[in-house]
Amino acid sequence: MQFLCFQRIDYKILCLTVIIASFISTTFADGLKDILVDETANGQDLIEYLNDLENTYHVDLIFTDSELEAYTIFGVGKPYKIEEFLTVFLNGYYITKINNKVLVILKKSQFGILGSSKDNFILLNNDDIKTVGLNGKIRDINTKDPIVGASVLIQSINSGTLTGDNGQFRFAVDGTVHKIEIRYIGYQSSSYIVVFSRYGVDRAAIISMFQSSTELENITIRAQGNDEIVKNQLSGIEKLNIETIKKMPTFMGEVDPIRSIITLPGVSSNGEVSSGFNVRGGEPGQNLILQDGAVIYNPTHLFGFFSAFNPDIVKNIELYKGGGPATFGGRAASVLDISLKNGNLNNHSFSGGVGLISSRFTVEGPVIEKKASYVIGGRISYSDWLIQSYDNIQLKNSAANFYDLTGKIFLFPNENNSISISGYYSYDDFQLGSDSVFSWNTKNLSVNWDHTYTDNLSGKLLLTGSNYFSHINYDGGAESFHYQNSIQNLGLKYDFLFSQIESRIYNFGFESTYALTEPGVIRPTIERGNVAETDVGNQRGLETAAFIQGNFNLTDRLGIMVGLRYSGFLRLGKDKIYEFDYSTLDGRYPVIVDSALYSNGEIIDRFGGFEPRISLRYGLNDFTTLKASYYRSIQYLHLISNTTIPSPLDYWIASGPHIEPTISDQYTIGILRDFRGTTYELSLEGFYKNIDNALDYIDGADLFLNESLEAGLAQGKGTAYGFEMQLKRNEGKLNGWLSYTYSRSLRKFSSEIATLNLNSGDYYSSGHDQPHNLSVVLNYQLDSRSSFSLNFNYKTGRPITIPVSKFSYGKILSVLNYSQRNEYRMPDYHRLDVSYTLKDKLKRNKRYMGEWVFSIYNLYGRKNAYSIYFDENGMAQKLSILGSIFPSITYNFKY
Amino acid sequence: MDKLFRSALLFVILISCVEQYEFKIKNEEPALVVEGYISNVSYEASKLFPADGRYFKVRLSMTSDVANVRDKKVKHAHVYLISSDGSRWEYTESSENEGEYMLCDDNFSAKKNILYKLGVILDDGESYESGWEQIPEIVPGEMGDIRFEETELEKYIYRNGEKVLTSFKGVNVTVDLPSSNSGNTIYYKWDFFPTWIYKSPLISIHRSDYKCWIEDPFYLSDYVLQKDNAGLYPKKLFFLETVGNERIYGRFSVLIRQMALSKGYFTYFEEIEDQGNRGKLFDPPPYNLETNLTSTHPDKKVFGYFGVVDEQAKRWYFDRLDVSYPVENRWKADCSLKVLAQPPKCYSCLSYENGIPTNIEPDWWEDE
Repeated sequence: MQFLCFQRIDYKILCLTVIIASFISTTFADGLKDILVDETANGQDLIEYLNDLENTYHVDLIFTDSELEAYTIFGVGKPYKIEEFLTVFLNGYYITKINNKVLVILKKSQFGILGSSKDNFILLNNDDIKTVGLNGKIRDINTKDPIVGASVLIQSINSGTLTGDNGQFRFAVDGTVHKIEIRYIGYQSSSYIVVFSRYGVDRAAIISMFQSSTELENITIRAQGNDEIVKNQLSGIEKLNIETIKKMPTFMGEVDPIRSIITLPGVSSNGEVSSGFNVRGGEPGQNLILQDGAVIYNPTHLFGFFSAFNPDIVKNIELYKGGGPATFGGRAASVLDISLKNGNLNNHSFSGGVGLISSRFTVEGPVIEKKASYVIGGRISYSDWLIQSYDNIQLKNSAANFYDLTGKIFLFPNENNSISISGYYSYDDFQLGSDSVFSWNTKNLSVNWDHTYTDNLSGKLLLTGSNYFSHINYDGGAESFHYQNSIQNLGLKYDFLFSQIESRIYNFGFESTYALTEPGVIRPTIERGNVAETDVGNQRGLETAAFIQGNFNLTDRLGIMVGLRYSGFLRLGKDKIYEFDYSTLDGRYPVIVDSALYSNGEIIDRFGGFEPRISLRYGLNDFTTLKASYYRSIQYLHLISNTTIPSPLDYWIASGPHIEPTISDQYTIGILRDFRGTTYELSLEGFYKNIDNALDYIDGADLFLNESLEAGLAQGKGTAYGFEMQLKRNEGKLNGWLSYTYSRSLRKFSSEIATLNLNSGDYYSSGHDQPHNLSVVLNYQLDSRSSFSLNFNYKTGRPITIPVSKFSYGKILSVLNYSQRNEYRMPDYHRLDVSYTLKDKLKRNKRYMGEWVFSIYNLYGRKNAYSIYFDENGMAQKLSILGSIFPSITYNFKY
Repeated sequence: MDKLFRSALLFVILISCVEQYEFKIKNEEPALVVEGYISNVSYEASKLFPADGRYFKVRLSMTSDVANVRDKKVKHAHVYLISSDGSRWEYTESSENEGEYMLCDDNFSAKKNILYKLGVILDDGESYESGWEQIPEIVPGEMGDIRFEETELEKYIYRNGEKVLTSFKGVNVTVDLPSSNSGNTIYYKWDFFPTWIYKSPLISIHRSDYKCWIEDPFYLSDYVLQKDNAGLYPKKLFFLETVGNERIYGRFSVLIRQMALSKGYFTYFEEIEDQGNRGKLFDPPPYNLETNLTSTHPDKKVFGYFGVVDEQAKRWYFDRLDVSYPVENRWKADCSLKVLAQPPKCYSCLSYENGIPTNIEPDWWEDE
């Protein structure tokens, strides 16, 4: 008889017994049930005895050799079944019979009570005795849907990962016993003991998770898996699960992904409500916002009160502060990657919410059970009843509406293929005490085909189309007009994922996007109107990129992500390109000396460049990780804003003969630390960002419907730097986080050409330079049904250019002199929101769930400035849009 | 309660409470403002517009806080003009209007192809100069005819809280632009100096204060700008409301002054105009006007513009009978309202309040 055993420092587990060919059991006994330990065992060495039994009975007795070395069998009188004997004889051990072939002997102190029940064990087949792949999938217990983004941690190898698109995960482990921990927000965290045996049947662990509400347990709030913060290789990644977002205080009872990410360090918004967000001193137009891969150009509804994303359909939100992985590109500041959930493959269900000024409803279910599903949801506002019923002239002339529809079809023909088709349509309009109706709409479609080629190689094909149109309709007699700007794109992307082993993952592919921008067109809407038709020519661009990225865990402590992206951009005709003479100015603008006409598809200009990304992590110990990163990203499309606050007038233009691509280089260094286990997390990160070819408007620029709009723009340097801190409490009844950011965002535009030399060539604050930014988010779970949440935000007022003196000139009573650009600041912003959520009584297996959300926005009614503008006499008018305490109530439901 | 509830909600949705806000301005030192021009039309020639005649003036003031109403005028400055041909003229401080300095030379006018520079020395010794300026190389031909055409202007007005599209009868006054085929741009500016007659209806026509000539610097006070490369089209100057406009019940006249400016001077006015259109939510970012004046002291700011222009003018007369429809003279009716006391203007034209009245007929006035 011979044994092949695998040893590790503390373990010596009998993992596989190799039976010598000549050995034939005379008893033909097979299985644990046949094993009786009788008095003949007395005096034998326990390990030797157990090894004999394995060979004789063709069973696998899993134990650690070193722990049982000192044992000699004694005191056996009558025959015992093997597990009875071991339970009595080995007092400090759990003896667990997994099946008739496999029995595990575990020291009670090793995994605690977890080792006491066979339900907590996962038995996997293992032919390879040295290194095995621990493969698995996580899914929802009810719907059987894969859970994407769940965190999976194996403490014994000090490694963690997130589940992929099909809920899959993979680790390289040895064939010993491992405890695997799974966490996902909204689900009950669970742990299992994984054992390998030749008598195991399954090659992959299929782990089902219970939704927290189903299990009547409290939800543990994590902005990201707590192991992930230490393990993740990407510096500057923020992940928010929709369940986390739902825990935050709401405005009008509806959760808001955009408002939630603004509570994260390094992220801010320009105003009370805003049409976007700023990441590390970047502009709203420098964020790539993707919903299932399709670009969202305006992430807000109702003038910024609501975000454009339906919270009932959003599954995950990932924000990359910087370029993100090499698979993403095209924006200088950040990537916000929003994924929609797949419809339930097994059951029909619906969810929604009814609020005072808006409601939403989502329905989902199988089309073909276990093979195809749908989810479709819509939201609509009905604020006009409030507005119109109020006896106020200005309000009579006001309106604000939105609706949106989000849908997804998910096809799951087999284990190796899945296809999803996501569509999105949204419409907004508002009219604020004037005759101008502002409106915008988005139409998006994306098709995503995931294909698994082998266990190690998978690919994802993504086809996307995005259309964004912004309009103004003015009804004013002879002056009536319709204005429109737009951007449309079509994208193709193929993304391969090759995971050699868990510690070496490669991602490579290519993408190509064609964009058509319409900077603006205005037409009279009545015959013989006074408004002259003006059409600023459309612009066309083709952006193509190839990328490769490797994620390597070089050692348990050292990980590296290296990515390289090459992007190229072709500015294409048809177009008319002006030639400017900056030595001769016409007002502030250079004189147009010539123009060139380009035909359809003709190349006008080309750009390209490498975008390297590297991110390192080094674990100082189990609790502390150092991180550093460098990202370069190139942006070829630019959002042009010629107003003091973001507005529907903002439009996109493409790089070309007069506008170079914006290049952002970002350097970060940070430290992450867990305290008291993983209860607290502290993250400190510093960043420095250099931006080449940042864009700003020249003094006196008129960028609205200007055919030579490029002449109204200058390009210069941008610099942003800062320090971000986040302290999180992940567990316990009271949890949440505190984020503080100190950062600066500066611009310097110096040129020998006077009109391009902004602010005398000196540094000045960018419009997003808000040095101090503090967010506190706290949740307190009062009991299993009710919770209380609080959100506080403070930030330095936004920079502003203001009149500092005035004079009269001729008949003009007041000519204003302005300060240096952005020299002054609006008042500091701060606001406190609270909310209380009361869920229906929770019952196991009860499908209908309802909850009341009572929230108070702006608890102490601060009149924060949304905008400050100046009348013709230079008097400042502060506009506060949410300038009072605002209570709301919403009923959310789910079936 | 219901109303209160709705009010609370509305506050959020739209009210957008607007309130005044005051910034603390950091030590903004008052700076000199210079306003003035010279043209090819001398004092004597300007009488032939026809008009009262005007000397070239320079107004000096200091910038003031945004909240202030009046600028502080600058007294006791030394203002001079020099030309590229070596001539020099001194301005005389006005005894009537503080901060005003006049070039009291009846026959001085700017000459083509001569460069001019304005200099200002304040009594504290600080000195300022404009750049060299000259009459634009390309000047328009003879000023075109002034015409009008009847029109109706539609505007929304609020009446009893309701928005009503209302039609206003009146005339659009235009000037014909002369042909310009040089290929160069002419930068036009027009401004307007209205005069009209008012007769007090409740007193004898023989009284000296029965008939007055009214001027109002704030009526038709907007200027009009136009860049022109070709000419030969009518440029709209202003809209004159007819029905219900008491200024045209008698005879109405406007001196229409046309200037051809340098590009820089034109831009200056263009940007002042742009500034005046602000105060809305989606305003473009603000900016400072560019001056052609500099201080010899690099830290001292100076604002304003000194222009050298080509100037022409025409006087235009208008009578309510010139339009095809009847326009009622309501002077008498307005003074016959059943009120406790009629306004003083009904008894003396010198008490007319919507302008500056005089009962001395201007030399140039033409009765119909």
